[in-house]
Parts: sequence; C-alpha cells; structure tokens
Amino acid sequence: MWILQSWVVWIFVVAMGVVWGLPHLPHYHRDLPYIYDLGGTIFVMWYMGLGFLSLGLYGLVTSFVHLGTFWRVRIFFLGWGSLLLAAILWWLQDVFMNLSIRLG
Amino acid sequence: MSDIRIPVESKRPTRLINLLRPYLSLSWNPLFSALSFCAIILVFIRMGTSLPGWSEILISENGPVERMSAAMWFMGFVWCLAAACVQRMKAVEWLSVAMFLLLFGLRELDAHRWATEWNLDKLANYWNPRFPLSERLLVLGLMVLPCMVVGVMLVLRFWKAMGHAWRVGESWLSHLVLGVALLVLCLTLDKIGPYGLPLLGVGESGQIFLMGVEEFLEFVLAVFTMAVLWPYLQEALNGCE
Repeated sequence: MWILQSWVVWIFVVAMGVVWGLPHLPHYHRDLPYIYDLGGTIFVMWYMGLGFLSLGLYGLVTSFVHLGTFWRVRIFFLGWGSLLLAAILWWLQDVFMNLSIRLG
Repeated sequence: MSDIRIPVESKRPTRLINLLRPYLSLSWNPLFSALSFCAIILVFIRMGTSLPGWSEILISENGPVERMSAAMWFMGFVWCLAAACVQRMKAVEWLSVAMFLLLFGLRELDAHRWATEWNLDKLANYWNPRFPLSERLLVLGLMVLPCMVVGVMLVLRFWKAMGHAWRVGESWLSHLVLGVALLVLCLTLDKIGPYGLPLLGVGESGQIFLMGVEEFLEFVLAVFTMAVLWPYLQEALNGCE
C-alpha cells in the first residue's frame, strides 16, 4: 500500500480539511484571531488539532499495512494517542471560546 | 492462450495506478512535485469554492492559500514532535526542526499581530517606547533568543554532516539550499515588494499579482518542506523509508 506512504495523500487530506472543513466549525469566523481576546490561541488550537488528526489517521491506517509487529503496535498507539490529543485540543478551544470576550 | 490473457486483463487497473506512482511518491524532485501539487490544489479550490476570483483565493487574509500554508507548518510541527518522541536518538534535531516549523506557522497566522499588537518583523519596534518594555523583553526571551540558540545548535550539529553530504552529493543538502533560496525569495517579495515596486513603476494590478505569487510560493515552501522531511518522518514513525 505505497499510496498510504505518500506525502501527497496526507497533505491533500489536510489541505481539503482546511479549505472545506475549517469554515464549517461551530465558532469559525474569518476574523477570529482579532474579534476575541483569546481568538489567536483558539486559532492555533484548531490548526494543531488538525495536525494531530492527520497524524492519528496516518497512524491508524499505517498500522494495517506491511509493518513488523513492533512497529505496527507502536504506530497504532501513536495514532490513537494523536487522535486523543486532537480531541483534547478541540475541546479546549471550546472552553477558551466560552472564556473569551468579544472585542469591539 | 486464455491463461496468458487473464493476467493481462487483471493488470489493467494496476497499470493505471502505476502510471500515477511517480506523481504520488517522491521519485520526482520534491520542488517540482510541490509546485505541481500546489497548482493542482489551487485549480481544485477555484473550481470547488464560491470565491469570486484568484485574489480572494491567493492574497485574501485568512483565505484558502494562507490557511493551507499555516496548516502545513502546523502539520509538520506535530509530526516532527511525534518523530522526536519515537526516535529518541535524534530527538534534539527533530525538536529543533519542530520549533522552526511552529514559528513559521505562527508567522503565517500573523501571531505577531494578535499576540502583541505590534509587528515583530520591524526591528525599530524593539526600541520603540510606545510598546511595553515587558512585552518586548518577553518576545526577545521567548521567541528571538530560543530561535537563535536552536539555529546555532542545528548548524553546529549539521556542520559535520554537511561536509560529508557535499563530498558525497547527498540530496538533502540541495533540498536545504533550495528551501533557503525559496524562503529568501518569499521574504524579498514580501518585504521589498510593497516599497520597491511602486518605485519601479509597477502598477496596482502588478503589485497584486506579485502578492499572489508570494503567497503561492509560501504555500509551495510549506509543501516542499513536508515533502523533503517525509522520508525521514517515515523512517522515524514506522521504521521504514
């Protein structure tokens, strides 16, 4: 499954997630970093969450392809760990959004 | 005869995907791969979104290209962190690269504007009394100084490897040179463009065009960085190249 080992596939997934996925998030706003006092932090959490999401998906998918048992188990746990971190970051952005004050 | 025909027919879909193989793997030069990949993505966005023109896609603040560039840097940051956790022997190198990618991502998201409300790029701002001294010292201590320390450390660590790579002609050195050249080109377009172009008599449409080129090249740089790091990330994360 060489296609899953290609950067093109994973970068394409992230790029499409940013272009079509991000604007559909509940609190998304074009001017987000500037309209809330914690907007920048929330913005960074979204992007970092997306990074962990891609790593998590890669880990889970790669654990099913031709690797030795040691690497397979390792990347499987890395995948789940990353997905958990992505979920924590996305939950945290919600908490920060509720704490944030709208400017102007 | 039928025994011969059956495998030929069953191989048809494999042949098609094998044709795409060089485009989807790293057999091309990563810079050309990144350039063509970014161009294809732009066409997808133009066709698949309701954005009215290229300027909204390319140069709009928080537009698709800006967002994708930032996402690539943050993706690289997260993946390098994971590589540092897995490949402990090279943890320092991975963490240093991760820090640079994080800074590039923050820069792409204009963190310097929403975090401090002043432009970190302007050196004059560091001794401008209009901005709080504590804030300026914080930026110097938490961003500029660590960046310099990590930069020096990376150069020292890579110095020996660079000499060997130069003699043997390893590909990563040429990728590094290409990346730095692309970065310098982006910085030149970003910083000198708005001041230099009017002096050269370039009109508003020409300036907008060059701004678009600069944003596109920033996106290419981010994708190129990921493409170059990819085999090393693969090696670190799942033990194979």
